[in-house]
Amino acid sequence: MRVSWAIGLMFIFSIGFAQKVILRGTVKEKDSGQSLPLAQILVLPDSISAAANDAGEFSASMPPGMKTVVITYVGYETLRHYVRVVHDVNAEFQLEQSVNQLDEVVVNSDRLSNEELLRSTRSSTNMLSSEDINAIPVLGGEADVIKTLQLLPGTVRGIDGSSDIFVRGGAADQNLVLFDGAPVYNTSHLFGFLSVFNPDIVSQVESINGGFPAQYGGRLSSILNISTRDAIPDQTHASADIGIIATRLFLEQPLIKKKLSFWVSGRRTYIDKVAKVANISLPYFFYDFNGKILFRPTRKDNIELSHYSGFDKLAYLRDRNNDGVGQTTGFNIGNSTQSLHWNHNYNNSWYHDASLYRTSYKYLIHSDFGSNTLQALSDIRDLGGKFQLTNEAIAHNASLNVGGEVVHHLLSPNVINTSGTIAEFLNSSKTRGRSTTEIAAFVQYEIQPTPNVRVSAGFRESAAIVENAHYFNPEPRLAVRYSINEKSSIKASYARMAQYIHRVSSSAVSTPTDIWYPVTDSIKPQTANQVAIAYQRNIPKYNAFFSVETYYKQMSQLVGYKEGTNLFFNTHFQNSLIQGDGKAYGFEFLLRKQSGKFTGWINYTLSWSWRRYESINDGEWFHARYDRRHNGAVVLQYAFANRWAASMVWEYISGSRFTPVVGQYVMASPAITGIDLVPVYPAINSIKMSDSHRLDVGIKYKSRPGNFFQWQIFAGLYNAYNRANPIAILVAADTKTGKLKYEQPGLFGLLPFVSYGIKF
Amino acid sequence: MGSSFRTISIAAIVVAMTSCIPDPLDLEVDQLKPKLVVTSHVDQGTVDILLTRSVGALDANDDTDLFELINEASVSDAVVRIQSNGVTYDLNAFGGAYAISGMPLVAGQTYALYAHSAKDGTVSATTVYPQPISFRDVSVKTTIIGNDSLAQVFYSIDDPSGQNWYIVTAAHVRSGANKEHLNPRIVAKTIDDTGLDGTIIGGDFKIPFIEVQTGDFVTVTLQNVGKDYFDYVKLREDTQFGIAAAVGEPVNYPTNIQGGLGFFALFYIDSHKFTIGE
Repeated sequence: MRVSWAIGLMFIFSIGFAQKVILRGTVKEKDSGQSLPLAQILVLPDSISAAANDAGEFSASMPPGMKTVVITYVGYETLRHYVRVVHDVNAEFQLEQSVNQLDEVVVNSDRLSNEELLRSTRSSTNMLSSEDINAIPVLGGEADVIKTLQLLPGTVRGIDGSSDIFVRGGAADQNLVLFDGAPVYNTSHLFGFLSVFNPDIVSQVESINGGFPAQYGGRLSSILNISTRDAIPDQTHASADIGIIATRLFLEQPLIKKKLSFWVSGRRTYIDKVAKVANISLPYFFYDFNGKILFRPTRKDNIELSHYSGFDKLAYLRDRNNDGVGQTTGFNIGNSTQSLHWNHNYNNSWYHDASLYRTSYKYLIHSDFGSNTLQALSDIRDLGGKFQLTNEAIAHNASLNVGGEVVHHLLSPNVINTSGTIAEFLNSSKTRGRSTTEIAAFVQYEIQPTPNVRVSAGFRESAAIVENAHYFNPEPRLAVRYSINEKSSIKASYARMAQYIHRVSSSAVSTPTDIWYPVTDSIKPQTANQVAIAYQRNIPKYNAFFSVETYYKQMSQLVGYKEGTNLFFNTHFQNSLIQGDGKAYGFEFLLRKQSGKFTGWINYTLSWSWRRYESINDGEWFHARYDRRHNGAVVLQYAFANRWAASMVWEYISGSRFTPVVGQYVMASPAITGIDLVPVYPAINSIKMSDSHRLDVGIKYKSRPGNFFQWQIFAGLYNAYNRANPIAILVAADTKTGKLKYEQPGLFGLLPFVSYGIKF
Repeated sequence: MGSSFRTISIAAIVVAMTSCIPDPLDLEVDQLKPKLVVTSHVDQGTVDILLTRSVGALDANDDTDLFELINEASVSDAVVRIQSNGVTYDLNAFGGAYAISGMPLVAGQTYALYAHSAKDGTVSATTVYPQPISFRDVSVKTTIIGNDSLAQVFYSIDDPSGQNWYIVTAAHVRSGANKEHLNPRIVAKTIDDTGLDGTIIGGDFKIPFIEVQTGDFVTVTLQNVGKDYFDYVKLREDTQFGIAAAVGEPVNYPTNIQGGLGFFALFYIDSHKFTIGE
């Protein structure tokens, strides 16, 4: 309530500065016409700054007169445009890429330029472009959004190769992944080793880890906002990429000049086909299909319809007698999302962004053997909508964003059907479908009361309506920037978040078949309060940027499981859910160089993450499973010639936590016919696994710039020194001595990769 | 061309598969310090207490010789006493096993265990002897289904009034097998008579996926036990086998032993052995 008053007072205060004329503009790349989101605009001599939105659009109010509009964007020549503004005006600004830009590998941890970063209130945010994602060597040579994100501050990965991310001590399900505005529940293919986001069509990735604007909510730890290509091209473009894991195709076609176009993209692993040639049965494949229609009916309207579907399919027949009869096992898992966006600019500097989306996620496992059948199914269907009204120049140096959103979840979690003998020990589930509606309204107001201070205050009121219960959560947000000088700023933020749906996954291992489950009358919403303080410094002499950030996050009503809970095919898992507290804190350092022949970043995170449940560990605090103390990465690229670029990633992460068996004892079995060996465990998550570190190297050779037909070869080594990065602690017999010992297996050793890409 | 492609494909797959297996890393983990473990059993009026030491996780696994393990872990120097109704009974030592015959077992009476080993310390526990209950009726039927077979157990119990906790177990034991005595695949059905008090409780359950052979046998038991032991068995049954043991949340099983591990529970066992083929 106090925050609402504060916003109101700031609004009243700021309208004292009467606006006179409004400059509205769109920032685009000169050659492709692709909009440049978050470009920074400075209007002189009034020193009015504004940032373009995701569609490259901005507006700013100012006194009439002769103006210099300075537009900056990383990797592009700074544009200075002189214009006399005497009445409201619309303009398009086209930026050219920097010289040699195409020949260099440019990596930005944040798309905002260094100066822009310093000026904005934003911290705790990482941004990646398509170029960033495609530049670095990753597993199998397949460019991967999530794997790249895991190399940035504040984000810790799960086991080696996993697409799970753990942001600032949170859990893997505390990240809201939005793909063109629609939530995606399962972010991985290949049982977790590859993310579902086709790098060909990803335009920009924004990962917000703290200081959340009020327009975002629904998860405790991060918002991962992935946008796909949104430019209407002047001509047909096509590209293909052939790697050792998958092949990708992309086609972009204009239909009405500057008004209507579409693109489609597909990706499929073909390792099953290659294996078939070699007479090896590998009954698994995955595919993705993406498509988008872009429509600009007027200069003020922008309509986009986006589609994604992707599935993993496994169909296996175990035929002992080669008679075509045996055990068949099938595994299908997939997402499908559709979203419709409509942006409209009004004449009075307001614009809106309205969106509707549908998303579905389901998995089906079926197995037939003899007279037995087993089916496990989980299904989520979301229908949602969001409306935002924004004015970037509601007053002098002030902007306002208001809106609301609603999403209706229909969930059928863990439906299990069994028949035959197997039904004797695995009962068919009586789990019934659940329906939940989440509603939120939000307002965000940003103002710069003095040249050195910028304040962004927001308030979000969220609610969930479930059977027999309604939950309401006020979520205040605040971000403040203080400029020490032109080169350095201090920022502080506070955000409260609430989460109404969670993923039921074992702490030992998470799988694509983990169950999403909403709040109920007995399972309360999870909430988090996070404060963060950042110091950021621009080092123009070296085109470098340094930031250090510290955070503290307190979490309540976290969902956990009773000791001994088995979640696999558990039809009564609801009875095993418990709720407790969490806390996480740490420091994040980032030093990056984002232009020139030599680019890259060094990231180091020092962090702690704790959990406490009344019925676990005697109610004492214990380490979270992925409480990894040190987490760092060195990412370097070097463009040593027009057509050659080399890259390397070295990653070092402290071992995650585990609870291995440390003892055992003999007990008479209940049937008195045998002896039980009963295991004894140490305190939960008290054992730290060995640290993980890995070196990936890659080299890229491209065709001569300027040719119509462009190609490139990207080859390299994943895990160049063949280090096992532990995924678990097992007891195994030494192959030489036969004595039992603990060992920590890794999944991927040295793995060469090569990919060949073409585009025209 | 086709042959080359095939050769290259096979080579690529072999390289990819072999390169994906790095050598696992070793790790030192502090092992559980040895604790005294109590397990108890009543057989035809004789109370048997097995006193052992816990062992480390690296001291035994499923391939370990059961009898060797018990020999190594047994505590043979202990003084073991049971006190009840003001009378103290000293148990006789047979290696690591301690036994007494003729100690009155009275339903509802409390029994206190005390065991002291100069090397391994002292443990104590108390338990209440529940009312002995036998099956009203019990039978086993085996059925062959394709390559597999199953044993179906039919039972009924005359439930006396009052709160009772039953454990009905069935285990398939292969003829002459020793190894299967270690962590045997037991189907244990736990029955809380809440809502069924004073009725005839009946039912059936199956031991699935066994390949029965003539000479194998199935043992079926009924035990009326205390609530704490009932909870232990229920938890153990839920978490002991298959994928549950691999991906379930770790759990330390409850114990009623002060200063040690295991369970001191005295109860009557109604045991029936059904030999396959007879």
